[in-house]
Amino acid sequence: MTAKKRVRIAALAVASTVGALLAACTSGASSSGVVEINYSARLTGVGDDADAAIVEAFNRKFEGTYHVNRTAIDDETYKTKQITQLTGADAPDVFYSWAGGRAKDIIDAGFAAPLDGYYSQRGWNEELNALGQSLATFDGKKYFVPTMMSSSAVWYQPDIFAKEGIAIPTTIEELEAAAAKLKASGIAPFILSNKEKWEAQFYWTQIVVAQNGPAVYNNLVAGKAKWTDAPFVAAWQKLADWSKAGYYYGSPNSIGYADSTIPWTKGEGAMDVQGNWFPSTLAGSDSAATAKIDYFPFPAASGKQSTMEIYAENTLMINAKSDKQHQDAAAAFVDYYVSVEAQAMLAKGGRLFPSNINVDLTTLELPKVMLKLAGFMNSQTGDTFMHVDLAFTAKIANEFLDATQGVINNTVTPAEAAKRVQDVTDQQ
Amino acid sequence: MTRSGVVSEIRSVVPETTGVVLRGKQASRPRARRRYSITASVAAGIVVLLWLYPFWLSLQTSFKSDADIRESPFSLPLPPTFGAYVRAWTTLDMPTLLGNSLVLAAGGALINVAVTFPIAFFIARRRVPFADAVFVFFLVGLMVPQQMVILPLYRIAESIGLAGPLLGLVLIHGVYGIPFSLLIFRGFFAGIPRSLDESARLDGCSDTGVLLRIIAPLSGPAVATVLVLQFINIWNEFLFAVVLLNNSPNWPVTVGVLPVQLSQYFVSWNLPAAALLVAQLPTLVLYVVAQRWVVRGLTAGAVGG
Amino acid sequence: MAGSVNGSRRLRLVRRPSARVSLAKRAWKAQWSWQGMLYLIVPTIAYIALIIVPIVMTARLSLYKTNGFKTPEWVGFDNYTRMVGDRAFRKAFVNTLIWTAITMTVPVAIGLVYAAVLNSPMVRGRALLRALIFLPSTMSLVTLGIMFSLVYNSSFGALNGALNKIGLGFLTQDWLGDPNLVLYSLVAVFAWQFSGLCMALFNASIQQIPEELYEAAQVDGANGLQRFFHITLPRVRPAMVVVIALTVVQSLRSFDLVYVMTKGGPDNASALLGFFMYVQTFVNRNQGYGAAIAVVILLLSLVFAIVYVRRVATREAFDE
Repeated sequence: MTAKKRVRIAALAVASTVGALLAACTSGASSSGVVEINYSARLTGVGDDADAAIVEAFNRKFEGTYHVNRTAIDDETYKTKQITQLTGADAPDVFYSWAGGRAKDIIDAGFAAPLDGYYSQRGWNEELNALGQSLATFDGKKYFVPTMMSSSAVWYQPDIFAKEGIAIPTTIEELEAAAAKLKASGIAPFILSNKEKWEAQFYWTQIVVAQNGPAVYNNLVAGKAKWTDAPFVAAWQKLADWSKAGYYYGSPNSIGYADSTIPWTKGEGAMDVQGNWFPSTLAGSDSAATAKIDYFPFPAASGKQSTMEIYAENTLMINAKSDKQHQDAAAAFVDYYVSVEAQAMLAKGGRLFPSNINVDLTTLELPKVMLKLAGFMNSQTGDTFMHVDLAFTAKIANEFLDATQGVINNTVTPAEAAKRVQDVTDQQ
Repeated sequence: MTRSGVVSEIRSVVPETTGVVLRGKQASRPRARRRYSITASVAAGIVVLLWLYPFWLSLQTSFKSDADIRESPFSLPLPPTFGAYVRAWTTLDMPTLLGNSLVLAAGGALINVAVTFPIAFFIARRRVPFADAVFVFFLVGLMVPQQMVILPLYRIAESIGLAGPLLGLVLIHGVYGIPFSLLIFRGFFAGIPRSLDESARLDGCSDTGVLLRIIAPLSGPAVATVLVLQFINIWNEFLFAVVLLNNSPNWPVTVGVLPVQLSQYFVSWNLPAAALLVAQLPTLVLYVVAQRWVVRGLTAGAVGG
Repeated sequence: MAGSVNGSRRLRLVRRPSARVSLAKRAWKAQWSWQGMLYLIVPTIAYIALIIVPIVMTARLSLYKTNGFKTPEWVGFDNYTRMVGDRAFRKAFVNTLIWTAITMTVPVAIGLVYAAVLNSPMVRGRALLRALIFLPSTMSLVTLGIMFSLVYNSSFGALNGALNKIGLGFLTQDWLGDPNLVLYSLVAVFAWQFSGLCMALFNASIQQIPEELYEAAQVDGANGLQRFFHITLPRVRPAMVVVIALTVVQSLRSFDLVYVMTKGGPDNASALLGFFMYVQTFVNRNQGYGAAIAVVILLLSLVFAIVYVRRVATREAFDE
C-alpha cells in the first residue's frame, strides 16, 4: 500500500470519528425555534397511558411553540436513573419527584427550582388543593406541583363481608375480630402483596396512626421521636402477630402487586390496605370488580378518631439547572397538566384524585365508591400523614422496607427492625 | 510467486470448514462407523426437551388467550392466538426498541471486530513491543465488574458527549468487547502458520497488506464467530443501557421490556411471555443461523483450543 | 517488478541504525511493526479512557463519602470498616460465596456431562441437541428473570402448578418468598443458562479426544462411567480450570437476575454483592460505600482471573 493511500485512509478515519462525535454532541439540538423540553415520567401500572395522552395533547395544543419529549420507566428503574438523568446531558426539565423526604433529597441537591413565581403567575395558588400545596412547601418555598391527591384506606369485598355477617369495623379490635372470623371461614383476611416491598408500609403507618394519632407519627418524621419508641415497635408487633395468626394471603413477600388482583377476583381474600389506585388496578383485570369494591377508613383504637392518610402524588418538579426559557416551557406544560382538561384525562385513566379543585368529579364517570372516597377526603380536617416511603429519605425508607419484609416473614423481631431503622437514621 | 499462487497455497493448508485451525493429526477425526443407539438418542432427546421446558412453556403461553391460561396453564395452544403479540408490539413500542437494540448490537459488534482484528494479529505475531504484556493488559477488562465502572464511565462518557446518544453506547460496547474478541482472534491467528506471512512479506507486502491480503480472507469463520457472539452479548446487556441512555427513544429491548412486570401489563400472562419472546427473537434467529460458529468460536478462543 | 520498490524501502529501514547498535538488537527491532503500533494507539487510548480510568476513579471514590450531588468528603478507609459491621453486607457477601460455590460446580458439572453425552457416537442428532442446550445462553438474564418469575410464582406459577397437577403438591414451596430458598431458586436460573455455555466450552476438548481411546477401553471391558472418569475427565482438566475461573468472575458480578426477580428480597435474603453495590450507589446514594464494595468485588475477581490469565497467556506452544 502506498504512503498516499495510507494517509488518505487515516484522514478518512479521523474525519469520520470526529464527524460521528460531533453528531453525537449535537444530537440534542432543536430546530426552528420550538422549545423542546424533556419530561421524565414514572410508570406505575395505572394511568400510564393517560400520562402519555396528556403529553400528546399538550404537544398538539402548543405545536410550533413547545414540544415535550417524554421518557417513562418503571418505579425501581426510575430511582436508578434519577441521579444520572439529573446530572447528565439532556437532563429532564420537568420530572416526577415524589413528596416528603425523597423530594427533600432532590431539593437539597439543588435540582428543584422554587416555583412560587409560577404558582402566583399561573394561578396554581387558587386552583390546587391546599394540603397539596402545603406539602409542596419546604422552608417557606414551594418546590413541586402536586397533580394528584391520593389516600389509602382499607379496601374490602362487601359481598364477602355480607356473607360472613361482618359489619364494617370501627375499631382496631373489631377489625381483628373480623379477621379472625374470616380466617375461620377459610378466607384470607388481608391480601398483602409485599414483593416490591412497598405495600406493608401502608399497614404499618396506618396502625401507628390508628393507635396513637397522627401527631406521634409526624414527630418521628420530624426527627423528634425514635423508631425504637414503644408506639412504633408495637406497630411492627401487630404486623408480626397478624402474620403468625395467618391473616395474610399466601406468602406476602412473594406476591407482587400485580398478582394481588388474582386472589381478589377469585374471592380468596377479603381486605387490602392500599392506596386509592387499587380499584383502577382491579378494573384492569376484572372490570366488574370495581362495581363491587368498597372501602372503609382504617379504624382507630377504641376511643380515638381515625385519620385517613392523604398525600400529594404525581408531583412534578422543574429542573433548577435548566435555563429560563426551558423552565418557562416546563411551567407551561405543568400548567396544562393541572388544567381541568388534563386532570380529567388523568382521573379517567385511574390516577386519582385530581389536585385541581375545579374539576367536577361527577363528570368523570368514576365508580361510586371513588366519589364517596373523594368526598371523605375533602371532609377530613386536621392533620394527616404520609407513608414511610414518601415521608423519609431513601436510605431510611429502604432500611424500613427491608426490615419490615423480615418482620412479615417472622425472621426479624419488631425490636430488631426498630433498631435497624434507628441505626440508619442515626448515621445520616 | 503470484498473489493468487500464495492464496491457493494457503487454502490448501487451512481447512475451510472450521473456524479453528487444529494442530497435527487431530485435524479431523476419521468418520467412525455409525453406532447409533436408539435408546441413548431418545433418552438424550427427552432430557434436552425437559431441560428446555421453561422456555417452551413461555412460548406456549404467549400463544394462548388469558382464559385458556387460567384454566389450563400447561396445555398446548390449539389454535394459537396472536393477540398478545400484537399488544406487546404496540404498547411497548417494540419497533423502536428492536431498532435501538439492532443499532447497539450490530454497531458495537462491527466496531469491536474492526478494532480488535488488527491488534490481535500484531499481538499474536509479537510484532509490537511487549506483546504478551499488552495482551494481559487487555485481558484485565474481562474481569471488571460492570457496576464498578458504571458511574465514572457515565461521567467520562458525558464529558466527551457520548452519554445519551446511542452512538456513545455503541462505541463503549465496542471497546468493552475488546478483551473477549482479542482472546478469540489471537488464538485463531496463532494457528495460522507464520510461513504465510513471511512469503507475503518477501513479496513486498507491508503489515497492513499481510493483514488484508493474507489473514483476512482466511478469517471468515473467526470474524463471523466474534460478530455473532458480540452481537448476542450486546443485545442482552442491561446495566450499561439503563444507566447510560437517558431517554426512552434510545432504549434497547432489555430496558424497554421491564414494564411488563407492572400491573397494567401483568394482568394477563401471555403479554409478558410474548413481549419477552419478541425481544429475544433476533438473537434466537441469529443463533440458529450461525450456531456453528458460536459454539466453535467459544471453545477455540476461550479455552485456547 | 512490483516487489522492488517496497523491498528496497525495507532494506533501508534495516540499514539505518548506527554501527554501535548490536546486530541482535537490530534484528529484534526489525521485527517491530510501526503499523502495528499505530493500530494499537486508538484502541489502547479508548480502553484506558473507558475501562482503566473508571476503575481507578471508583477505587478513589471508595475513600470518600458522597451522595452524587454534594462534593465528596474524605473518609479514608471508613467505608471498608463499615462493610465489616454492616449486617446487609455480610449477608450479601455470604450469599455471593454460596452462589459462587454453586455456580462453580453445578453448571460446570452439568455442562461437562452434556458435552460428554452429546459427543458420544451413540447419540443421533448430537449437533442439534447441543445447539438446543446452548439456547438459553443466547437470552438475556433480564428475559430469563422475568420468565422464571412467572414460573416461580408461589400462587399462580408453573412450578407449583405442575407439582400440584402431578400429585406432588406437598413439595410446593414459596420459591421466591422463603428466605431460605430464594437464593437457590435464583441460582438455579443462572445454572440453567450457564450449563449450556459450559457445555460449549468443554466441547472442543472432548472432541479432540481420539475415539480410539474409548474403543480400546471398551474392548478392555470398561463401562461408560469408567470411560468417563478415566479418559474424559483427565483430558478436560485444563479446560475445566478455565471454565471455573470464567464462571467465578461472572458470578461475582451477578446482578441482572436479582434485580429483575426479587430486588434482593425478602430482606436481603437474595442479595448478592453485585446487587448490593447497586443498591448502595443508586438507591441509597451512598456512592463512596458502593465504590468500596465494587473494589471488593474487583479484588475477588482478580484472584480468580489471575489463574485464567496465566493459563491462557502462557500458551507458548500456540505461537510458534
